[in-house]
Amino acid sequence: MMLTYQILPAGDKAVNVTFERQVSVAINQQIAQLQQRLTQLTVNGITGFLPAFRTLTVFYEPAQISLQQLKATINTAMLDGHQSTVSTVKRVHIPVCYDSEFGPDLTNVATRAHLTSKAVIERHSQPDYLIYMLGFLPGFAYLGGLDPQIATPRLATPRLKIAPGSVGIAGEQTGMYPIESPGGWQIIGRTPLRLFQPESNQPFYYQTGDYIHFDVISRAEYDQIAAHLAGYQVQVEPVPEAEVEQHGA
Amino acid sequence: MALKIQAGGLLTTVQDQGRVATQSSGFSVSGVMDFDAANVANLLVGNSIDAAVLESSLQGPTLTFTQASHFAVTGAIAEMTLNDQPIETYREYYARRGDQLSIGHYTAGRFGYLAVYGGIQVPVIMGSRSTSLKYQLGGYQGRQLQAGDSLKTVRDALNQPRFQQATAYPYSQRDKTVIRVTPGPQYDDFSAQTRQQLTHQAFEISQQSDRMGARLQGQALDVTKMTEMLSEGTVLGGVQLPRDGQPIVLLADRQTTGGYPVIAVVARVDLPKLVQLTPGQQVQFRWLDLAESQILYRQNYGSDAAIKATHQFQPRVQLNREPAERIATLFTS
Repeated sequence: MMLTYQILPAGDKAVNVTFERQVSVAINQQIAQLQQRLTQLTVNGITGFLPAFRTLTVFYEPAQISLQQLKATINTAMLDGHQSTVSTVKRVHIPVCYDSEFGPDLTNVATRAHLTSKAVIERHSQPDYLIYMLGFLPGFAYLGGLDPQIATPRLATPRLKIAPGSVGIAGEQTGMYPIESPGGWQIIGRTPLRLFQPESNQPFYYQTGDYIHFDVISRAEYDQIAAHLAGYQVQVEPVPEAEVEQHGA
Repeated sequence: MALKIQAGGLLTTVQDQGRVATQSSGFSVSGVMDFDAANVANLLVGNSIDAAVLESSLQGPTLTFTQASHFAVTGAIAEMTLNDQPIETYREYYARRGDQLSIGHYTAGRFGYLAVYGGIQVPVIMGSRSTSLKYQLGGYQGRQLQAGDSLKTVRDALNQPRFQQATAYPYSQRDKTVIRVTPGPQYDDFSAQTRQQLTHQAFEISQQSDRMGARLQGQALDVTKMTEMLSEGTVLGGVQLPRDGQPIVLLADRQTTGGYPVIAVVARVDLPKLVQLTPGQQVQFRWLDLAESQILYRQNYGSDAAIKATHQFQPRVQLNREPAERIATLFTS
């Protein structure tokens, strides 16, 4: 079923394709499909995309495509968007070490959840987390799908420095810090991966609409990966269309 | 090497048209604040408008040309000299090896630009040469320039025609500048009364304004009836209304996503005027139809030809110095 949307101008060079005001898997998928469809159409004058929770900002050059033409193109893409295009959604495996050295707040989270630390790790590393949006920091993913049992409010006093690669929980969200930053998330582990590689052709491993899976690694494995980062092959798998739909159900 | 910095001025950074592709991954766009002034500087010296320039705020740099080069300074008005001889903004000059350019405090406007023939050569990171001070990436080692830094220019530049001079933007010395805006994505969510509040008063540019945004101060707009938003993509010139009801206009270093409602977006054609205002000056917003705004932008800035017409570019007077310059370049570079 096609979701309802509006195309709202955002200045001379952008429109927001705006869906219902809610965080939902269906909307996230619709936005990813629309972006994919518009990219495939290679429309002259469309210069870029910025997906978020319930919006797809489409940038355009009004000298090359008028607002009316752009709206018509988006409407067409919305109509054939759900006639199966090949899904480009992927699942990215992020190795995480949950040792107390890297996860100072793990016992906090466990105590609040009335669980052992081991049980928290199991629950945290089990789901496929959907990337609803990237923002706040380069490559910072707003992930959906946290087990509500281990949801934990932010720290009362934010830390001034959180190490890059830190994995944390804030309310019903979980996420990773790609670069050093202040922050109030409950830090439960760390990945040895460099989540932001500005010098690379592909500075980020994932994009909005992809899934993140946390793989538990030992301290020894952490050191091993960290020492041979250049040779480490991040595990990425395509997520079949049927499975994407199942996630949405 | 082509330029050696003697004094960095204030907030002098390498900038170009910005880093557009990675904004979908949360990396700020950056780029020049006054696209018009930067474009004119590049076109005067025969560069493409994509070439990287130096941008300074409130005070320009002092530097030596270690290689002969054509250059132009645009944007904010400053007292400046080439080897102690006064020179003007919005004019093309030729510096010989060893010549010293000194750009002083800005007397009008906020951002100044220096374009050198061929463009500033720094590594392209994620599609752009712009400096991101926040993430210490891009530009010259991810930071503002300081004494002792050496910059290269692109040697294999296009040989486009150069121009003698262009008319400067008439930077407002007045207290109040009219800035036209088109409705923002949350325009319909605001009451008619709040929309009126935006255009029925003048706002003052606050001291807190920077490359991220122009913070405005006035009678607070009523945002109490607005429902909590989910963060969405930001756009250049978006007029955001945080809970205190004081507008913030989002500029080059803005975050890629934001959760405050955007009541309006500054018409692209008026953006250069806005970014050049200094703290204490006032803005008077006026609604403009989007279609009209797009036409105005296209007519004034939509192409190199449009920019040249807007600024009444004057062709270079053919002096006999040209062959002499070429020979000088051969021996000094």
